[in-house]
Amino acid sequence: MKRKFHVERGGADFGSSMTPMIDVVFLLLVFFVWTYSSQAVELLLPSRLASPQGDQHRQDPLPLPQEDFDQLVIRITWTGDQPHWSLNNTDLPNLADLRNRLETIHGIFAESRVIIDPSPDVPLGHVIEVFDITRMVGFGKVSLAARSDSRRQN
Amino acid sequence: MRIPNFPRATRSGINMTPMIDVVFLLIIFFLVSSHLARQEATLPVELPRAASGEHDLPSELPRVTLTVQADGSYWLAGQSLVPSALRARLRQALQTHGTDLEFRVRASRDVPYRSVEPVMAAAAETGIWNLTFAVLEGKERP
Repeated sequence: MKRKFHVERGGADFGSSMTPMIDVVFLLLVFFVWTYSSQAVELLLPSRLASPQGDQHRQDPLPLPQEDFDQLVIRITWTGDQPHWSLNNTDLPNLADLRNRLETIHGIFAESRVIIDPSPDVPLGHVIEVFDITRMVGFGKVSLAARSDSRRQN
Repeated sequence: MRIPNFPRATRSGINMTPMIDVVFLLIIFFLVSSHLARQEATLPVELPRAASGEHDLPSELPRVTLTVQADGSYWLAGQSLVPSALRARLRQALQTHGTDLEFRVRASRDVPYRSVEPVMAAAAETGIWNLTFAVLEGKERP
């Protein structure tokens, strides 16, 4: 008796061998799409608060040291859509000058406490910029001034 | 003549390949959907830039994240928040999670300080001192 053999076509073999590869490629594609994220990584700036609460009472305006550098007060004001900076009541023309002075003071007395006191109109980006500079210079005690509700309304 | 019929072992068992494929796809689907859900929870804000920012290390501390949009509006847990209700919400969070609470502020770089100052004052007055600002890496644009 003659037996009839069914010979599979080459095309069917090719198709079945492609299936796992397509699966793997698809999985890899999904994996890379998932791991790619256009969202920028957020970092953190730990901050201290200099508020009228607790042992950090302060009057408005802030008490400024006259002779020493125990406490540095950086004021940021906003006039003519531009920020202006002052360090212990000394006006500074630009941020580079502020940084130079801070570096000089840090070289003399690294334990100074820095309080950043922005006026209400200053955009937060400029506040964080000064905050960042003081941290980059090396000061460890950097605080942001925050007035209580009653003081803000006055 | 009788021809012996040898059954192929591979045909008799269950083909596992499609099942593994489907399981993998399901795993990836749930991973992706949870990742997207996390992204959705963070409102898009133009954050300020800082070179001294620190990376967010994995922490067990409970965290409250407040988003301050450029128009000065507050968003907490995906819901808009009236500024007057901020203290109450912070007190509630403090009672729920204890004093180890981390308070993260995601504020727009363009928002005036007058919109951020009440947040900081409220945090200080309710007893939350672990306050961090979310920033992006790099220098502030000129």
